[in-house]
Amino acid sequence: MAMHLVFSVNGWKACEPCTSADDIIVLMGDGVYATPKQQVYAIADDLQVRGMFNNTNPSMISISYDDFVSLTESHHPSISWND
Amino acid sequence: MKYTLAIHGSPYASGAHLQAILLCEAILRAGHTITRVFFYHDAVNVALNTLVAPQDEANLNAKWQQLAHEHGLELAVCIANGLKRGVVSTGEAKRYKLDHPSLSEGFELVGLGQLIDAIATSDRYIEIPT
Amino acid sequence: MKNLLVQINKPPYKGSQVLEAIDAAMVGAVFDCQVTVLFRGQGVLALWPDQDATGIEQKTVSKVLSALPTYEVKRICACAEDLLAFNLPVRNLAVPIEVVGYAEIAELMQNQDAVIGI
Repeated sequence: MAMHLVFSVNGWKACEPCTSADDIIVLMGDGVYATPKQQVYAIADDLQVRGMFNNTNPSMISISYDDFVSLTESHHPSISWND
Repeated sequence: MKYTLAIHGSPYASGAHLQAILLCEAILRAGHTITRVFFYHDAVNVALNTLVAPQDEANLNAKWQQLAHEHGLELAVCIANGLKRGVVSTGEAKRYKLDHPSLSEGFELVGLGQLIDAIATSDRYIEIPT
Repeated sequence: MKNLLVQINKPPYKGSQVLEAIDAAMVGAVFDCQVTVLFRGQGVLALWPDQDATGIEQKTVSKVLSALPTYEVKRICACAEDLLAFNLPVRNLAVPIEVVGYAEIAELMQNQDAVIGI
């Protein structure tokens, strides 16, 4: 169960085909501008900064850094995408 | 659990450092340990002791130093990436006959092997890219 | 022994980022990690044969890549879709590679202890 950290819109495009069903996806920084159709997590601070907090699609779950750490405990390895 | 973090993004051309600092704080709050924070590529620039942050922007160098001071974090700067970007310790300044060292207190210059060694002895590796 | 994946996703002459990533793969191998290098996205462009970086006073990336097998980097992979997208000559690359599809990349990533990128 890998954890994909997506840091850009193009990063999501590269990441999407390389995910497995039980992997999780976390959008960080400019990654929160991506528009995935599946369920993903997004860092709340990064949404807030960009005026995206109330504009996310229903499949996006906003999380804190503490939530992020909990996800790292159960998912491994983490893979960073910044294309 | 033991974590190793690597930062690859430049301090002022990416959001990597603030993200990494917030992540480090959350990792420590959860009761985990951080084996080493490794600075690679342009991320090494944050270790320069000549950085002057504008008053209305985060002082990333100071934030790292404070985190290291409070939690005994090891801030490891890749020596090969650092030297070519002007980050030199007292020893390296002498070796290359430079007038002044430019490595901030709290950071140290290490070989790339120290990243691999930290990964090998940690449960988790998280990378904040360029 | 740890499984270490180094993924290269940037074009080869965008500064020295790709060379620095290859350094990480080589040091990983020296430290007895089971290292795989994956070229994907614009990173596959590092595989063009006949590169010559003398004109920009840099190491030639393709020559550095050809040394990977002598560093005990046993597995070198490249994304099938990206090779095709950039018209790379799969039988005549800077270093012999294993062509992998998206499903294989997903599986490869799941089997790592750490994934290093740029």
